[in-house]
Amino acid sequence: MKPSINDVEARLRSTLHSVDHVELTEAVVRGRNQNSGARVAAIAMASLAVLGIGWTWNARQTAVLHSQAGSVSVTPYDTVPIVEWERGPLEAEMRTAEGTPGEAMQVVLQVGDHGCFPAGILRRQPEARDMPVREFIERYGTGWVAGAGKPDLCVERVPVPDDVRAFVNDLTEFSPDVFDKVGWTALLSDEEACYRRLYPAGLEQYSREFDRVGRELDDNLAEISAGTYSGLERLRQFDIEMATLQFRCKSETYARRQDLTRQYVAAFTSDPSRARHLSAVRTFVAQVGLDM
Amino acid sequence: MQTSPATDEVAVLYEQHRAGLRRWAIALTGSPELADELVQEAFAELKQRISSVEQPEAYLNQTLLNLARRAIRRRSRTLVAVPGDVAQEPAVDFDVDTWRALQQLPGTQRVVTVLRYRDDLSIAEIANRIGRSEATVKSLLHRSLRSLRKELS
Repeated sequence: MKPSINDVEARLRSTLHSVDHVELTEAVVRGRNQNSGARVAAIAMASLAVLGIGWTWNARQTAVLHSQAGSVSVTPYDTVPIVEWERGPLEAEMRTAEGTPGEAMQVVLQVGDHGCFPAGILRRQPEARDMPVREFIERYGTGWVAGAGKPDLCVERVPVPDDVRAFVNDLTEFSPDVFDKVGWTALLSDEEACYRRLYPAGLEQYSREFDRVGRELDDNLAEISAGTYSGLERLRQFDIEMATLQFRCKSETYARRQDLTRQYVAAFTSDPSRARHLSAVRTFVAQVGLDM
Repeated sequence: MQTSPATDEVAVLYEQHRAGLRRWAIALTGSPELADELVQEAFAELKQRISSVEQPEAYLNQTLLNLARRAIRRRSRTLVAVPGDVAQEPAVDFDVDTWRALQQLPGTQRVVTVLRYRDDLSIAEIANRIGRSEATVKSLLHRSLRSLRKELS
């Protein structure tokens, strides 16, 4: 039965005013965002490919994007796609959220000295704010913080020139249609089917597990950091199982991903007017430390 | 390190208004992460123009609204919403179904709905804020409520 207009209005008022209960809202939104990281990782790869960087998978279930000067890895973990510059003076970890290729580009362009870690961790472990990514991973035993919420604090940013922003906007406007045309949406759908096949308990259970373990990780960081947490081995085991699952599914679509990336890049660069923006981006990236 | 008066003024405004603006941005976008980003962006823009802005609070509100609308437009074209687990312990007044239905509304419909039912603005005030006619706002609200009724049935 449809609620009355008055009822809908009352529910809207009470719900919108209780958004002040942010923790709950975050939990709800976190639920909605599950698995969006896969899309972001795909978008980030496509965006980087536009810049002339190829990518492949390595045996550690990590997508590695190679350039002449270094490589960039994107963790396979769906809930926290971490972009980590592996070489050079920059050790930056970028925030991402579900979003557009333009936003993924901003992920790449927001290069700074600081990592961006989940707010939950920063509240409990404020020293993590200034911690290089690698040290963070070493200290907490994992770079995976699934379910703790996506990294949402970036304390440092590099100013982005206007023509680079223009490129990002261009990519943002350009990409949604092309994504569907070249079959990226279908690919992600197939990956989801793969998860269903390999994880018989179902995706909902999968999401719940992610959330539960993420909360456990978040709630026990002090003990984990001190090496006294009794559940650490179990958490690591879960981490490995999930990463393996994701790797198997992404491996199945590897060849298609490569092909789609090529199509995407070809479509984007077919317009000569984009050459100027591309050039500006390359200059900018070189300026901030990545010699492409 | 010495800071400029402009920076100090923005810092004071940030302390005073960040939390409220963030909550508002969450209501508009449905995303705490995006809300943080937009609030930072709004303050960054204010900082650049602080010397020429007469009413900083109004400027922040309008800037944040513009940024949120732009962000919602971008996301609505590409977002693949994957329903997942929801909060297990809902607060007294927080209705998860309503929240999710609200987030499914097209961008401008969502914005006018939030302005109407969270900020209690009149039709004329909403029209002024988003640069549309009153008739358009009425129509958007009508469509929003119709969608929500359907979604919540």
